[in-house]
Formats: sequence, C-alpha cells, structure tokens
Amino acid sequence: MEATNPFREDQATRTSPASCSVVIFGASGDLTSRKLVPALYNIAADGELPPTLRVVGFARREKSHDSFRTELEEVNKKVSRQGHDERLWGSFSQSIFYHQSEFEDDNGYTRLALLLDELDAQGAGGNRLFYLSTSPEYFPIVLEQLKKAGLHQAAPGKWARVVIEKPFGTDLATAQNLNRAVHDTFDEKDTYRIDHYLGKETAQNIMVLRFANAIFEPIWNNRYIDHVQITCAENLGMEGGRGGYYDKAGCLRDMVQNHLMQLLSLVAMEPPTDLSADGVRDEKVKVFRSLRHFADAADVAKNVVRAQYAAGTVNSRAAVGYTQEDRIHPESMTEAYVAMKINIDTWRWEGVPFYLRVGKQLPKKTTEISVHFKSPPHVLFNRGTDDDSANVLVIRIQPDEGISLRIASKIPGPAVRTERVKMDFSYSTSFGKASPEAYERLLLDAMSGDATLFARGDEVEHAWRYIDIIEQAWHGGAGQPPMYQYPAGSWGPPEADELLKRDGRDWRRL
Amino acid sequence: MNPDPDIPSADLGSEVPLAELGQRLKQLWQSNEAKTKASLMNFAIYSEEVDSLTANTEVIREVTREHACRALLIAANPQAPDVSVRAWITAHCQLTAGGKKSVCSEQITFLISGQSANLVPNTVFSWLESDLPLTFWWQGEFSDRFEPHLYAVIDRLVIDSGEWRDPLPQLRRLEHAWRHDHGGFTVNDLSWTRVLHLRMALAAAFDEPGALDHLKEIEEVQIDYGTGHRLAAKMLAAWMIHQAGWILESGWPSEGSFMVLHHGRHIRLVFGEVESRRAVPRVELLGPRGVIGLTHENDSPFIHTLIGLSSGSVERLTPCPCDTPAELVTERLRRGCKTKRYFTLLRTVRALLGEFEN
Repeated sequence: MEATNPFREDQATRTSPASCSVVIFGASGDLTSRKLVPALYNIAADGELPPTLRVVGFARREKSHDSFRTELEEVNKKVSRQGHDERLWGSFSQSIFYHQSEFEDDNGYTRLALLLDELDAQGAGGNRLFYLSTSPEYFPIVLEQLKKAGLHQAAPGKWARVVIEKPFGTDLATAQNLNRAVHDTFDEKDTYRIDHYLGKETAQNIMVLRFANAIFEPIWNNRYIDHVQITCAENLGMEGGRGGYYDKAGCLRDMVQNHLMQLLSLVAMEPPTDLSADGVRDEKVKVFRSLRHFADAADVAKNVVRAQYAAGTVNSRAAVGYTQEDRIHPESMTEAYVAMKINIDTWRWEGVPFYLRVGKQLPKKTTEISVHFKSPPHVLFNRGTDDDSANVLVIRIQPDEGISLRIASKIPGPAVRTERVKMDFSYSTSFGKASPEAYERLLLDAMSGDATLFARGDEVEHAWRYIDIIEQAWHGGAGQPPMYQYPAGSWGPPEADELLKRDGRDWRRL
Repeated sequence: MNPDPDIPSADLGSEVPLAELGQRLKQLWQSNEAKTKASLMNFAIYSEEVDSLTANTEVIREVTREHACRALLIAANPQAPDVSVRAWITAHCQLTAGGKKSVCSEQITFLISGQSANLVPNTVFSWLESDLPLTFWWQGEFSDRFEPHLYAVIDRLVIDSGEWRDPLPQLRRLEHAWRHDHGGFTVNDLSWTRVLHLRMALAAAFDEPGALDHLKEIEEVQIDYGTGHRLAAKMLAAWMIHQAGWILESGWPSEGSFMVLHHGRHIRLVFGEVESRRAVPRVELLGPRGVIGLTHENDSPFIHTLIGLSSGSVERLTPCPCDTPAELVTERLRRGCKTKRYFTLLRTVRALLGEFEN
C-alpha cells in the first residue's frame, strides 16, 4: 500500500484535491482562458492547489508552452477573481504545458501519454483528469482516442477521470450514445458531467436552506406551497458569435434541459439519506422520473410557450430581432425564450405547478427561484380585499446572491392596514469575501473525487426524455405549436403571462 | 463628560452617556438610510491596555471588511481608583464587491475603570446581539476578569499565546477554563494561526515524489523563529511530531534542541531565535537524501519551498497572506477549528517548553 502524507491529514475541512495532471481538450477556446485556468490560479492563490498539479492544454493550433502561458496570463490579468500576482503566476504558470495535436490523430495521444509520464516523474503523481471542453462532436472521438492510447486506465492506486462540458447530447438518443461512449472508456464513478450552475454558492445553498433549517422542510409541500417559479433571464442576445451554436441548440436545450432542470430537482427532491454523491443524485433522479410528461403536441402547446424576440430596446440599448442576429438563419424556428408549466407527480408536489421561464434580451440578467406559499384565509386582516399577502421565499442564484422572504406587516398607525415587506439575506453583505467562481468549486471537487455537484448519466437521460417530447412537438410535423414574438427588452410574450393567468397566478415582478 | 487627552476619541466615534447608548445607536442607523447594517456575529476585543483603543479600532475596521459584526471594544483599567464606564459608538462601512452598497458594522467602545469584578461580563451581556455567536478576543495574559460567567457566553475565544511572558501557567489556565466550560467555546490561538500556511506548505512539500522517503530518514529538523514567536515555533514542532508519529524524548542534549524518536531512530530538533518579523522564517528538514526547506522572508507574501533531494530539486511558492493581527483573526474566522486537536498538541508544546508530564 502506498504511504500517505501524514501532514496532509490535518489540513482543512474538506477533502483535499489530489496531485494530478489536468488535460484540457480544446484548450485554445475561451472556456480555458476565461474560466478554467483563472479558476485553477485562484485555487492556487487560496493555497488549495496541490503544488505538483500539472495542466496540459491540448488543441490543434501550433503554439509553444511559453506562448500558451502568455496568452493565458493576459486573460487572467483581466478576469481573475483575486487579481493577478506576477510572482504567483510565475510559479503557477510553470505547471502549464501545451500539447498540439488534432483530436483524431493517434500519434497525438501517444505523444500525450509520453508527456504525462514525464510530468508524473516530475511529481504529478500518476492521477489524470481529462477535461473535455471541445465542440461536442469531438467528445466521442477524444474518448475513443484516450482508450486507444490506454490513457483511460490509471496505474494501480491512481485514478483517471473525465470531466465533460455541456451540452451532454442534443436529445435522448445522442445523450445515450454519448453515455455509451463514456462508459466504454470510463466508469460512471470516474465521469463528471459538469453543470456550472451547480457550482454556484446559492445553488449549493438550496439544500442547506431546506435541510439545515428546521422551519422550512415541514412546510415544503403541497399543503403550504401554492406554486414555484424559476426564472433565468439574460439581457443579451447573440453577441460574440454565439448565434451559430445557439441557433442549432435553442433555449430549451441550452438552458432548460440542464441548468433549470438541475435547479428544479434541488428544490423538489426528497431529503437524501446522506450527502454522498449518489445519495444526493438518487433523489434528484426520482424527481426527473416523476415529471409528468406531455401527452401530445396539443398538451405541449397548452403548457409550453416558445418565442423569439423582435427588435426592441433593452435598458436603453437598441436590439435587433432574433432572426436578424449574426449567424442566425433569417427563417430560424429556434426559440430564444421558453416559458413552461411543469407538474411533478409525487405526494409532496401533487397540485403544485413549477413554472419555468428563460430567455434572451429580457430587461435584466437574473436567475432566481421563488417559492410562493398559499395565502392565509381571508377572514381577518385582509377580509374583503384581494390583497396578495401570500409569503414568497426567493432564492437569488445570480447576481446579488441571497435569499429573501416576503411577509405581511402592519403599517404603523391607528388603522389596521398591512403591507408586504421583505426580509433579506444577501451574500455580499453578510459574507464580505467574494464567493468562489463555480468552476473553482467544481474543479476542486473533480480533483478530490466528489461527484455530488455533477450530473449522473441516468439523470441526464431522464431530463432529455422529458425535453425530447417538447422538441418533437415543436419540430415533428403537423400541429406544431406557434412560435410567438416579444419585443426585446420586455418580459416575454403575452402568451407566457397567459400560461399563469389561466391558473389565477402571475409571474413575479423582477 | 470631560475630554481626556489619553483617550483617542476621534477614532472611537461619538462619546455617549451609557443610559442613552441604545437610543443613540438607533439614531446612528436612522441618520443614513443608504447604509445597510449587517451582523453575522458579536465580536468583542478585550484589553487591559487603555492605549490599545486606537489600534484595536483599526483591527475592527479591517475585520469588518470580511466579517460583518457588532463589535464591542472593551478597554479595562483595573488600577483606576474610581469605578466608571464610558462609551463611544461608531460604524465601519465598506462597499460591497460590486460597489453598489455600503455595508456597515457598528462598534461600541467601553472604557471600564476601577476594580469591579462583574463590570466586564455584565457590559458584554448587555450589548450582545441576540442569537448571534460571540467571538471574544482576550488580549494579553489572563486576569481575574477571565472568569466562568464571562467564558460561559463565549462561542469562540481568540488569544495570542505569543504575547505571554510566561506561557505555561497561561496555558494551564486556558485548559482549565475550557474543561470547566465542558469545551463550550472553541479556541483560536493566533500563534497557531501564524503557522497555518507553513503547515499547508509543508504538507504540500511532502506530496512531491521522494519526499515521503526523505521523511523516513530525516536526521535533523531546524526551526528558526522571530523574536517573540517562540511559542509559534513550538506549536509547529508539536504538530510535526504529532502528525509524523514521532515521540519526544524527555532528555535533550543542549539548550534549544530536543531529540525525537521515530522507529528507533533519533531525530534532532533544533530551535533558533533570529531577527525577523515573521513568526517562523525558516524550517529545514535534513536527511541523507537532501533537504526540504521552507523560508518566509520579511518582504515576501509567499512561503518559498525548496525540495532539494537527490532525485531532483523543485521550488514552490505558497501564498501567506496573514501577517497583522487583523489578518490573522480574519483568516481564522474564515475557517473552522479543531479545539480538541489544539489541546492535544498543547501537551507536546508544554514538553517543548520544559514541562514534561510523567
């Protein structure tokens, strides 16, 4: 048995990341320079990065180790959460290497294996984390090549893991194919499907809020909760050349299948038996299995609103319509906005709809979950009025992360009148230190072997199974639900408001 | 109230009559609605040095940048002939990360004069924000005012054992209080925090290939400490002994050096005092395979690690942002702590100070 470092045992309150080589496929992309490397640098600045960690950027363009480091440094100076220290970067960057190869080239992987062996001898220790941040069509190719080169198998006592960026498939069939390709190469326990929303502090805090506070769980059910709204609004369109990808994916695949479904599962799940990765993910899967599937295209049309933005003004900025955007087909039938009503068939949530809305070119950038409680009986303070005095618990995911609770309070004075007031907890005011970036947490977890904040294969497939029904209704022939329009800078089409109005509800004003 | 030239009133804010303190605090917040009052804990600093008020106000200003709190700054002057209490209020405001909000923590300062045993705990009790934990920083050596009524309300006790002229009786007193309170408060010793990043750097050094083999064959450990930081060095050594499974022998060859036993082999442990602002500016572990050395220079925010073994040489930098007392406390408040481990290590620390138990 390999000797353990006795001085490590006493460090920190979390599992510490093991020494390893992190190989990033698609390293010339924005994700590497803007997110992954700054995340690793900030972990180093916090003193939590194993000093023997090595980072290998794998990409097609020709460049040297030094030019790769210089490119990364320039971006790190601009985006690093904790600023940029020349000396620390000098030390950290010596652990970064560049490996040029085509993704399909056998020889490139043979050379990669040699490089990794060399880095292991320098201290990386034999553990490998392969990070797939290429275009999704290369995922199976890279996986197959890793297997061919024998890189998927770790030496005895070591590990080899794979992190896969989104999108994980474009529908159920492609997700299943990709899962097969992954499982042909890596065990499920070594597979980390990333959803950066789960790395956000507030997303992690949902479980803490529910299960570490005795007051919420007893009322977290259909007896007290009227409905739940999840909103993910963006105030940008297709800037920065995103149109090419987006027009193929659409809002439902790009946001709902992963991020919003993950948030929904955290709100709706039963308490896990423990906080192990599978303990938590088992409960999330039960939520996905309990989603009531839409029966047909008419059912989809009734419960799901899709829309594109027309020209308008967003926060004093003129915005063109979706089909006039760069790299968007002028006759595109891809949605840039979705509002939908989801039912979960469990004892806890029977009769409690979850309304989701997500879209581009909305008035502001915000992601939040609001839990709307049932109104108190209209017999005392609000007798004879239609005042909405129901309590609303809001979990703000971004920006201004925090939690607020709307309650009714008496307005001072002789008359008994009530007003809605807000009790507010804000991360920025309560905890002065800036929250770590989601990728910092997720990379640390992947290096530590904690998959709790990553999606499991069956989780992803269940989510696709639900989404596919909507996609098929939209693109599958006759009776397609209409594509609605909304002016850029508004909160979506009137049909999305109608979705709630017919249930006697309204979207929360944001 | 007569102005007292010894009291830095300008730093402490407005002096207020004790009877009006609650009302004046309320007015402080009503006067500016743009400020957000925030509080995650009660944070009290107690000192029996009256001239510590300015420095401690600065400490509170620093700490509140990251840890919003109700701060109680208490200076006691037990030698004063008459019993009196004077109070000041002020607020420390910081812009949040996005610069959108001004978040403020309030500071109440008390100057307690005279020998009235209950004044300190009663003053603390009266001004605690309910439901929030109390972090209490006792500065200097323990006096009679550190008594059960006081430490019964403390959740986290901050001390700096490096300030103690004769640490052994102080450590005994601390341990007695902790046991008397059934471990009801956790202990954060700033001497221990001073070596936190050294411990992290040392742990990281032993992740390097060949380092664990080196550990098995170490012949000598040299630890230099800066003036006034003997206890930090002993704590680091005690931690190394504990973690590595070494046994401290009760006889030692000369002043400042000790012998530890590891699998029947002797390791010499040598302490040396040097001129340095750093608590522990140098640690070296020497053996036949080479050396693992950590240095922390006065002007560097990093600990420099050299792993110079026969298999190769590697250098590393570990950030070490903790220097001032405010930084140490801020760092400590960010982290959890293992008080039981601290007291376990104290047994070895006491032995390294010359007090061997039979």
